Amino acid sequence: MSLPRYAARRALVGAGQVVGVATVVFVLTEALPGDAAVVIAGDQPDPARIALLRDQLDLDRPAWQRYLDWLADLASGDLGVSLVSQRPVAGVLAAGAAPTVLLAAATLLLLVPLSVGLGMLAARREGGRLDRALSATAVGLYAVPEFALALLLVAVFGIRLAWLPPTAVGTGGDLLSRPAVLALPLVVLLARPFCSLSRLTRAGMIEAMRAEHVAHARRLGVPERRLRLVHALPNALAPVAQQLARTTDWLLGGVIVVEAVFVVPGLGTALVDAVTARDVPTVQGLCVLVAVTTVTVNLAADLVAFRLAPRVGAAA
Amino acid sequence: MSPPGRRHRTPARLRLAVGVALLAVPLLVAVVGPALAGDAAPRGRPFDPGGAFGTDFVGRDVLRQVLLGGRSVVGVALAATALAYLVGVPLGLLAALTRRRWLDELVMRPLDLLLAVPSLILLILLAATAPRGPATLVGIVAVIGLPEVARISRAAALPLAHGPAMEAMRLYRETWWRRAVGHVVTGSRRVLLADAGVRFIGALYLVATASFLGVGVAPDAADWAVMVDRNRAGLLLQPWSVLVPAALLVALAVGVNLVADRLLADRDAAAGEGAARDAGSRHGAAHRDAPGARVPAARAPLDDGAAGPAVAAGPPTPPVDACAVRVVGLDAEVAGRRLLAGVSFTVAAGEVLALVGRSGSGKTTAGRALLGEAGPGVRLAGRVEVAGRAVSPATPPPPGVVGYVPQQPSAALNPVRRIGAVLREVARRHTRPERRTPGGPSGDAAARATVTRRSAVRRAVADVLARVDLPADREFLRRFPHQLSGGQQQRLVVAHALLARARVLVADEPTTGQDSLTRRDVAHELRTLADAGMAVVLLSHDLHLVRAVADRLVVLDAGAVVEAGPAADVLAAPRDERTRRLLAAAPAAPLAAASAAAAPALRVGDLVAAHRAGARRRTVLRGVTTAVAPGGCLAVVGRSGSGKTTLARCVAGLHPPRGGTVGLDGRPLAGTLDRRTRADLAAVQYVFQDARPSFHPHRSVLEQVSRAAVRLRALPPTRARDAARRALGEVGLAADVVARRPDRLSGGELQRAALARALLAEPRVVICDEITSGLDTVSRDRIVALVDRLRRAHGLALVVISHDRDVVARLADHVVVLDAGQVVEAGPASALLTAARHPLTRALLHPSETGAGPVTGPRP
Repeated sequence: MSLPRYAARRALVGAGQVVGVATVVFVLTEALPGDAAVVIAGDQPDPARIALLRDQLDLDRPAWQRYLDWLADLASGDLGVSLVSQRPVAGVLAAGAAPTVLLAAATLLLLVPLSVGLGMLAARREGGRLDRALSATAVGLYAVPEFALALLLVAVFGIRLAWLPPTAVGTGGDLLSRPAVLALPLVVLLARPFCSLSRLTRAGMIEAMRAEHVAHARRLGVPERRLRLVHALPNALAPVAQQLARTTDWLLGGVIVVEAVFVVPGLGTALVDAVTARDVPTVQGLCVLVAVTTVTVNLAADLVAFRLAPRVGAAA
Repeated sequence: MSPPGRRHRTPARLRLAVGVALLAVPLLVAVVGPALAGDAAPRGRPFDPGGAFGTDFVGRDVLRQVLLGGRSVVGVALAATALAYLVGVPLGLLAALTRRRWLDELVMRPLDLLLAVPSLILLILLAATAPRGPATLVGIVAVIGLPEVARISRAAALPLAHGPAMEAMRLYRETWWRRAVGHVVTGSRRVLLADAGVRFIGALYLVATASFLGVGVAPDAADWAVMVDRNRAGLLLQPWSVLVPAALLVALAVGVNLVADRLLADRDAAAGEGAARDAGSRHGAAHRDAPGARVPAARAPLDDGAAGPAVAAGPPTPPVDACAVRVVGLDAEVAGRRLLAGVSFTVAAGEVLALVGRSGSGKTTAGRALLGEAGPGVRLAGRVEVAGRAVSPATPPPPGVVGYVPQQPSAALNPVRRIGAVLREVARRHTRPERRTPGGPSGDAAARATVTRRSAVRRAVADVLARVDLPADREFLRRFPHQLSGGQQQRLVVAHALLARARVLVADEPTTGQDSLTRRDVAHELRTLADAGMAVVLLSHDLHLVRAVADRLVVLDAGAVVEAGPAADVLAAPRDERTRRLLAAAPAAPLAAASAAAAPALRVGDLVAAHRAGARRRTVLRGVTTAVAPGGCLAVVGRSGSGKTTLARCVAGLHPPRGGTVGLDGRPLAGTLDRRTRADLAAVQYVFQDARPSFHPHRSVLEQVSRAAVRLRALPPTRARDAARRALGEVGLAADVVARRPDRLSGGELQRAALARALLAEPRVVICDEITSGLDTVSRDRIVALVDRLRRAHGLALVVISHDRDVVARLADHVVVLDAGQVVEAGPASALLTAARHPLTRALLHPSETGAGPVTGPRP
């Protein structure tokens, strides 16, 4: 199968996934059994507030009609109005996007060269000092929840040693105004994905360098450096690209936690606030945004993997 | 494991110890803590540093909260993991076991959708709409873990649920319980257990993070993660209230991960060793399980005049200059086992030397020594000279001088690079750059040099591709290796060698698994290369190929040269008994078609079958009609992909046909074997191409074979075992051999056991699907003789699928030739073997055209 055909088919599946996730979101937030307004009103069921909610969410109309309207609005980019601030949800998201996108982009920018590079270095000398150090770190850090790591780092570097600012309070969401603020959040965000990606690169490189086709190229006189970079690396990168896509899942979770710990007014904070306040349209909008991001990233990773491992794509 | 792995075994053990220690503290606190916590003391001031760890944000004693707070994290994570397994494993197994595609989709698609949502978002979303409490959290975390568990179960079970072992069991209608639980669940058990650690880590992470974000638990609960969140404000005043629970959580996570990682590694190592042992016992050459580091061979410097030891019948040595390859007294051993003993030979430029011998006789070790390579742990000694230079693992030949075509040429081709890019890269390395003008080239001249260089490279590639009969157009050069046929891949590897100006080519079993037309091309190609001045070393047990192309022959047995000389002489008059045995492929006269007039035992009428590839259907059989007389033997021949195996599988009921009939003794048989009666099932038995995967690894061969008698002949287990023992004895397997598990038997032994299993059903028809491909000549002859004997003894009708002329000549009385799913010729074997009408039949079956020289045509 050619790449464009594969891309088209894969994009179709992705669109289906987005609709599916949107449906799940809608069902979970609005179409639950019982009266959604009462659930949303929460612990203080004030009749006036319930009536207001009913009105705002159109709860008097059947669920399927609301669902179709909601989907149509989504398609045209209208995410509804926040129940709390009464501002359009799209505006709320746009306001919180900057710090979150900055954090995610900076993490990815550092993550790929760092983990691929170190993984390759470790693979060069299997069992060497760097390899063992990397492997021990990776195994240790891999499972640590971000919030615990973040607070330990804050306690040591932010408070005891006072080298780095412990929170982003005072930047007002413009993290670049004080770049030092970024240091600790980035370390926390990098920790888990770095572990998995560097180990995967290492394993992939070791396997690829043992492959018969690399031995064949070596016999033909291809120099060692080119063997690694041009012959072995592309083979090692296919699983890395896929794992990188899965990393977005962690990254999104990590961003929520990091924003909570370092008091960054981004999308993660907005989500936690919206959930606490049961601001249904905002939660829906955020979840759809996240779903679209995840699906897009996975799509891109699959396309990269298709190019890197054409056989797999042909078999699928 | 590789030798360096041994070195860091100590750190690995240290890591495990650290992991256990780290794990012990939080677990102990979580389990024993609540009992030690005692009653609640009156609240003090918030963030008071007094006492062991001071007080928290509402003035509660931190020590007491810590002691109480582990239970919920550990308990919820454990319960969630258990719940995810309880639901996910059966779902995954169901999806894997079902042969109904829609059911598989129905189970897996919604789970895939769930996977598309980031887990923490899903958790927040679910928690926001459900009542708070530990039970909710358990449910949510289980739901999030569910898709992964189901996917892994399905992936682990899938090869087991549809592999040859499962098909073999269906052939004797094994009970559902034994198939699903005894085979699939047992087989995937280890993967699932090892994975449980990883799942638990994931659950732990989610539970802790959710609690930290205040999702799912009460905001004042005694919980480590909640404590970290709530006491954050006092990080400056009273750091213990945050650091102690955070440290416990970190210790828990790191500890579990270290232990799980160790367990996974041990499992992988055990699997690896098992595979290595398996490979060793199968191929006789224990390359992989050799302990010890790769030691460069200590080689004794030998004078040119010193004769190689132990080669009495060595050929007269040509003068040094003419020798492209010269091997004197080559020894190889691995872990004290000898692979080669004093092997000497020479190859001149323009000559084809064939190293022949059974599998495991040391052919490959000798061939790789020419490349200056040795398997892990293999020590070489002796002298190897290529193009006048001494070669050893420490001093490999100059790049490109020795070309190597591995048995599977696809392995030598980089799967992710276009073939043109690689060809040009090789050409660039070996095309001499233009001489630079000493005064430093001007920009213009340099650019012109680059252009001429590029066109020279392109020309070199085109020339070489033309030499190996491959197209050189842009479309072809942009292909990936997997888009080439096996024959094209092989020629592409040869093209690499030619581009690198190789003077010696080592070809390792170039015809294994190829049909006879491709085999003829290979013979032609090797001959052409030699005629162009290349020294060709052919490692093979394909005697037709050897006869067709070899100038000289070296016969290896157990690592020693038993005979050497000009090919024609050795083939015509072998002096050594072992050579005679190797060459004795003389077909016996096939059994006369005694009952040609009788009604056929098996009749296939107008059979149509298709394979589904994704959404498309590809028809592979288009109206095939044939029949087998009782006691007769039908050979089905054809090129690879002509539909031979599909025909056999349709007859056995393993592949439901789209149209046509399969009839036994005049009665129609159901299309799938699940719908056949027990008697019909027993009457048609099928023996797989590769015997090993048709047994499952967990129980002894005897036990597995005897199940056929239990299920198809309704014998009680003890009598079935006796019958099985008799059948296994009949195929020449001793009682102590069959009491072992399949991984302790060789490929030939397992093929015998598979024949015994088929016989035990007391069939009328036995289908043998390429059962000798991959076996060397001697093993092949033994199996063929056995099949012949069994068929006479039991009056079986045989259907033999083969592309081996010798097998067909020896067994068949009737032959059908398939091409693209249609019968192109059918008739008595005697006629088709010597005087076929269709060119394909002639190409496949006629001795003169498969490459056998006039010296040793098939003896009558």
